[in-house]
Amino acid sequence: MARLGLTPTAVTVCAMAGIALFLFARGVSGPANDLPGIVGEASCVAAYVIGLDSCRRVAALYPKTSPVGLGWLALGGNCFLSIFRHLALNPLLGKAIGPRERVYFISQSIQLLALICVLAGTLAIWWGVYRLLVGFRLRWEDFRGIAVIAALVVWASSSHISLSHSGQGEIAFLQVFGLGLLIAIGAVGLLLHSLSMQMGGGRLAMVMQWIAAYALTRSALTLWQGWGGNESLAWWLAFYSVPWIFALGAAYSCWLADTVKRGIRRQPYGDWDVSSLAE
Amino acid sequence: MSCRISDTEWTDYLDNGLAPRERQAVEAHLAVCADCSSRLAEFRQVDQRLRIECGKVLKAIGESGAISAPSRESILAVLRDGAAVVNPQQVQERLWRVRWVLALLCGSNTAVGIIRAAETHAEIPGGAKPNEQKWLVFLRRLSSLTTEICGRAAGELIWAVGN
Repeated sequence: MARLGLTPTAVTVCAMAGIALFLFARGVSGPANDLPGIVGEASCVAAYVIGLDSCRRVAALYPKTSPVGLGWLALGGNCFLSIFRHLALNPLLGKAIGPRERVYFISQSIQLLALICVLAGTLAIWWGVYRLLVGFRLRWEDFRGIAVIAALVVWASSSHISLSHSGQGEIAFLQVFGLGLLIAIGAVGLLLHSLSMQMGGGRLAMVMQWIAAYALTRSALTLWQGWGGNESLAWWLAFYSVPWIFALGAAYSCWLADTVKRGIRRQPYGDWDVSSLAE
Repeated sequence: MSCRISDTEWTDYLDNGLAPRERQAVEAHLAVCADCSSRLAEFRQVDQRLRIECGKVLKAIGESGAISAPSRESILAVLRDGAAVVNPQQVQERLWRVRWVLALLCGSNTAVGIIRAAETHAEIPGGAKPNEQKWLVFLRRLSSLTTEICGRAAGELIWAVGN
């Protein structure tokens, strides 16, 4: 039986390789050179290609009208758009696009659409499980967390976001709109995390934790950027790691489906040892 | 294609009596509808049981020239109860297996929640375990909820483990 996409171990190895290559390139050529950017952006493209493939496969496992399946499709849309964004941000291709402002504008426009996909996808996955009313609740801690995220983002956007003060009105607008989206994505990320904690373990909870981590890290990264963090190596490391967090989450979802399919194959109606699922 | 597949169409599908185009339409619908997939599995089970019981009857006729009362009763039991053949002990065992698989896939709390929702759907009173008559209704709902949460393959696994 054909395996569904790359295994989580393979994705982890690819992620380590991508990040190690970026660090090596930065160490060899220094931060001012184009090489770390070329390597880092290429690694992000690879992560999103893996994520896109996994999302497509996972979405196909759900009934066509299932919100969870539609959510995975939307997350696949995020991967698709993010591939183009990271291609545009790659110094090799960015030079062909034109001046730095144009590259930023294209990047921000694509990011806006990608963030809409992330929001739609995470919300659909959360709603797809929550609406079944199988014991999940909205808790006060979730609302408190959402309020903290909203306050942080509003504070950062009002005083610290650097590019929104630049002369490019379109970029400023896209950034402000993107910040609103980031609050929403952070909030849904928290809800997904809460859902995974309420599940009481299980493989699906692990998938949800990775997706929640992706949503929250992406929000945090933008905030950090607002504080001028994108000058530091730590920020760049986080920036190039985020796509791999998503690729891992999607790979875990494929792995879940693989395990289930193996379980069905071994199922001779009564004589099957269910503990084999716990392998 | 909607879920309005008649019993005759199901029977024809199982007996390979549908025209290729109709068969394709049924298969396309089965690929997206967890309820109908569960229903087909149920029909298949009844069909298999009837074939086994009819085989016994034919054998009895061949040996003694008459249908024995137990054979007649077993066929009537299949027609009366559908695929529900499990005894209470089997129900307990299968419930335990289903709960374990669900807990491994989507967590122990989710497993409890899904099982409760399926019990409510099958009108099983609180605290009581599903009996053999309600087992299939319960299992079908369980499979359908699992499909919604973990995907079609997981729903099929729950159906297979519970059968």
